[in-house]
Amino acid sequence: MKVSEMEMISPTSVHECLHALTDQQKSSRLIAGGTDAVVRMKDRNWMPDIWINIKGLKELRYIREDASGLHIGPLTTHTDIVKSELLQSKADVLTFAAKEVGATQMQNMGTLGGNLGTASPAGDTIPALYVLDAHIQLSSLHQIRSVPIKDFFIGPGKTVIKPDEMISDIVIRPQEKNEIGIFEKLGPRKAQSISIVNFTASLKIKAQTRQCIGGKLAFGSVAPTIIRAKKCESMLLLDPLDEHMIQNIAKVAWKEVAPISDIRASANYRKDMASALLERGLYRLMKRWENK
Amino acid sequence: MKNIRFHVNGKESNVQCPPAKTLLDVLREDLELIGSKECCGKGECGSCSVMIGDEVICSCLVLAGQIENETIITVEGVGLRENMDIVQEAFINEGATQCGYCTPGIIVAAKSFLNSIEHVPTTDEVKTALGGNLCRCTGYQKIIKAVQTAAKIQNPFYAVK
Amino acid sequence: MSIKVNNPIGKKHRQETSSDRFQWIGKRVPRIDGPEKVTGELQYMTDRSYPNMVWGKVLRAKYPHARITNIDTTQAKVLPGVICVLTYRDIPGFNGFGIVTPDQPVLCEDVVRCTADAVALVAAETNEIAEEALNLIQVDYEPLEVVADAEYAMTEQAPQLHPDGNIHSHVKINNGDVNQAFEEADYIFENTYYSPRQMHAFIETEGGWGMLEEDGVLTIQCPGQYAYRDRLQISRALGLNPESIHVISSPNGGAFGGKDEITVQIYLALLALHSGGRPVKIHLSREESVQAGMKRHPFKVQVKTAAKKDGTIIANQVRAVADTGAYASLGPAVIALAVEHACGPYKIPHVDIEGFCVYTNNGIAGAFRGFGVNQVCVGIETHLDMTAEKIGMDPIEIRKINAYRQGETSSIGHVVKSSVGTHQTLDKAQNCDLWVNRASYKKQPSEPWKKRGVAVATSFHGVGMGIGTPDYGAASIELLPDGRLKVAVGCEEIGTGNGTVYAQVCAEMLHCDMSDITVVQGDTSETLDGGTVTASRSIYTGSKAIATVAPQMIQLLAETAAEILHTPAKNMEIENSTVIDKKDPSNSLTFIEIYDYLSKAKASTKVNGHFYLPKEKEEIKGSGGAPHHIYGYMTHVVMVEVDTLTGETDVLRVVSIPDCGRVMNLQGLEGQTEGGAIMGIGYTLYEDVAIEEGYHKTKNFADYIFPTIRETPEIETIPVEDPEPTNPFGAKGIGEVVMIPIIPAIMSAIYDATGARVRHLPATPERIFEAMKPMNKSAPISSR
Repeated sequence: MKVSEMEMISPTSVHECLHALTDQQKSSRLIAGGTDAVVRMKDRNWMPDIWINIKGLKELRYIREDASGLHIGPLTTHTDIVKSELLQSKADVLTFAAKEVGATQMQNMGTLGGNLGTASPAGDTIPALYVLDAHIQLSSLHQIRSVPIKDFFIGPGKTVIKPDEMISDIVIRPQEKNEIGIFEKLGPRKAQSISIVNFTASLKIKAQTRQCIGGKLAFGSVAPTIIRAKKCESMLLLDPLDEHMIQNIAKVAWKEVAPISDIRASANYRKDMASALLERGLYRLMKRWENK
Repeated sequence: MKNIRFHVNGKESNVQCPPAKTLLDVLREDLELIGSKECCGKGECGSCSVMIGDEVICSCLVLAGQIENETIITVEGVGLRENMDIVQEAFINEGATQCGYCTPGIIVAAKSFLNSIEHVPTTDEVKTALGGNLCRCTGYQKIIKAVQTAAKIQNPFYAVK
Repeated sequence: MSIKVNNPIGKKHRQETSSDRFQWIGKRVPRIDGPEKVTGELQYMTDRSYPNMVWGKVLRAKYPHARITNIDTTQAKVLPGVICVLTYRDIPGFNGFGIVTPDQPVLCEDVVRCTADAVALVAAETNEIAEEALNLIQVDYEPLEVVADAEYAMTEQAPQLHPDGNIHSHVKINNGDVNQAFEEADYIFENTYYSPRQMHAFIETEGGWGMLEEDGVLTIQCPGQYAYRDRLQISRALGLNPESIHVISSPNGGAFGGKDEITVQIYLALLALHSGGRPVKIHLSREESVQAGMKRHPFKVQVKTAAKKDGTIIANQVRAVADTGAYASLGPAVIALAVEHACGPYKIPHVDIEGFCVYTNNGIAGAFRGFGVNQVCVGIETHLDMTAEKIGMDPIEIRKINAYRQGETSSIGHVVKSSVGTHQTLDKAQNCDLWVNRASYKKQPSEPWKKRGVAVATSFHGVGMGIGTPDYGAASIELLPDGRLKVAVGCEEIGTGNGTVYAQVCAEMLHCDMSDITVVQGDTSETLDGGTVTASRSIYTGSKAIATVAPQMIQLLAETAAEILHTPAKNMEIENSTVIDKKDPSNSLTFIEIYDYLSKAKASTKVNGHFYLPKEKEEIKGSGGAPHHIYGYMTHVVMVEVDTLTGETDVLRVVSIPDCGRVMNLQGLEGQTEGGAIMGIGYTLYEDVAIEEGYHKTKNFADYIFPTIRETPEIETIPVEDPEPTNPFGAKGIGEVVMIPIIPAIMSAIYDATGARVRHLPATPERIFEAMKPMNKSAPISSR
């Protein structure tokens, strides 16, 4: 396939889009923000006969809350997330993470659905979806199913999305009043960087104390997919989170990760950084908690 | 081939091109708006920055078929020599351009940023706004100063944060 | 003739450092090309287009080292839309290029030595067809053993990449008796330092146009750093009279040395000869630029330094091995300059320095801002700091003790006759806020587990070519029909703002407004051969060349006016683009009237001026070109903050103190010091092109990490003016030295903050973290 011969359709509804995905005559790919799809096209990795352009599908760009949780449309951009007052108050981790994706242009273009579809183990917004118990709604012409985030990724770049399916909704639980989150990113530089390791935490803390009463921790870029640090999570509850306690939990973190060495960092450094980011993150989180 | 209609710098444009051609190539080749540059082609450097609506994006990662009916502003739309924008004048006066190849993209990003605020930005705010625009010559310090100067001139009543 | 011109050449001027007596020189003048750059109206050569153009593409080698057994272009040639497919068989002249030794094939015939090698060229109706045609060219290879390491390349068992072996050059400077000095030393420091393969990362990748004009002239429009030399290299490959080749090489979207060598000019020329007169465009993608472009030489530098208790450095021994990749380019000159500068701007009595320029299959290394000095400044500066710490001396004091002054003998054994500003820069450093109050700044880290360090370093860099390479400047000034003056200087505008300084100098010398000056640069049909825009030379040479030719223009204007007005030429004065009879000011002529008269008389309105750069008389034997006559000097003070949990390091403040001889344009000078500081920060903390077994692991800007605006510290520039006697305005050059001392300064500041020394650059968070490990107790975060 040549780029100059590729076709493009721009469905005006989800239904129309699902019809197009079902058509098996020609190969197709969804394109929204383009930050990943066009890069892959230029690298000759994605050469579909037809691009299905969903950038204009306004019905998939929303942030709202109902009894079942916070709903984020897959075409919601990182900038939408950063600016959302609803998410700032009820999903602070996600806004912190979205702020660290690339830089302004990429935040304006890239979408949450695109991030999920790309399934990069280094994706900055995904760990936040883990600690917020996200469910990914997948739609095809024939069915709608909801997949918990922990089951959504199969491996680097691989998800459970079937060829005739698309992400139609992302549902997360709202943080509680006494819940506070943090996102820590270690990249090779401050902007336009891919995480060497990232860490996300969302903790419920007993008012006026440093006692954690429930918390979720997730790491990015240290395993084939995002992973939760469950041993560390159980330790959170043992004692008030003073500096020594934080450090003790951090010492365990490296055991919960399985990184590889690549051009950006060695596996050993990544292990050390899992501990370091947890330590730094919880310290900063508790500092914010105290100032709240 | 597809006929694509959109607005560039206040004018309606009609372009006949493959829908998977990048917006950057459409601007440069079909509309001869050569201010926007290709440097990395992958959204890393911001040299191809243009505004779609109010938002700055990398035109090297947008496909022509996606811009139907959109409103686009390129550096030429921010201002030309005869009608230079305040931000462009500030870049000249502060010495914020050297080889100049990244400059159009930075002007667009800076303009979009200045449009979105109503105060004189702090250094950190400018750094966050322009984090997606790489420059290899200037060391960025004069770019930060130029954006702040432009904000001050744009509205003398703006608060300095 | 006694025309009153503001001719600043003279002894009196040399004593002056104030710019007050000048109208333009020394002032903070905005760039003349600013308006067209900020509006996007400036057409870079890669922005141009022609209605009947074709697209050119280059087929690069598939292997870093392989024998070519067959090249079959049949299929590519028959692809519809393909205009031509060229291989080595289509090269009419000499199949090679390279500034010093032309050992790089234009198109490889029997062997490829790196993945930057070109094997075939294609021109086609569209970029896409050209790309497709590349895929249809069948090249059969027999892979050969890859030489991936310079030290290995120097051994006998390594495959020989060129007929003369893998050691392309070996240069030495010996002075005194180091062994004796090591015995007498109170302290000896011995360490090995590794430096990165930095990429120029100019924002405009290599590209341009080739076209065969109807009159038979071959025009090459391609950003470069020396149009005349590019023309000679093209002519050699094409077997063509250079006079029939027109090279336009300015403006550039950044160069930094990376467009000094031939980039795509010869490819454009070859394709233009086979495209039926249609213009051919090549513009490399970032990926191809990363793979094919020159890089900075990675060095391994072993340094052994001897010091006395009083802080004097008595000996320095240096062995530097430079990985020049598959071809020489300017490698020998880089290693020669490294050897010349390896002992710093000091007067160390006993030195033993040697450098090797070694072939490998790791891409190609060539010219890059700093030209070898970046790599070697680290050893001596670090060892000075180690000595100072050992004896409890201030780091600035120890540098003052060891730095030579004008008239003293340098470490390499020559008496330095030109201006030396080191001591003044160190004085400024000693008195700057950051240094004076460093103890207090260090106590204010932004978070409890972060640590701050402040350090200083000084260095120098030769201006112009060393001995053995002719060095000259030239400029012309032409009176235009509208009364404006066109000043033409060969040195290209690569972003530095040299063109603005040329306009300032011309306006100053000819008493007119800067807006009455048009500047032309880098064009073989418009500008004289005035040498390269490299070697920190273009302000020095350009300003001197204009000062050389300006009196001739004054003479032409005055004599013509005198002839028209029947007044003696000696009575003529120039003011505001008008020639006035000073005895009778009503008697005057505008430049336009003078042009009209000359034009009617069919007389030339253009004057040319040439000069030779001053040189040292005697070359240091075996040094490859040392010493230079002129050096620029520089001191940096920096403050860093290290995150002890992760190793992440921020440079927070930089004080740049250049000795530039004379400030020609303060805004331009700051542009250099600020840009140089960031490039130095990038070199020290972030940048490296990873190559493994000859293959690039770094592919594009997604994985080549260089500073964004968020890495920018607060940079203060405090210029020192120690006028250089051989330039009419006292100017020297600082384009390269601005990124040099900051490298060891950052490394020492990291040590000051953490106690950890990193000797392998870039000092990535991981390397700093590893170096800190022995110091990192498991103390709580707030008490680290």
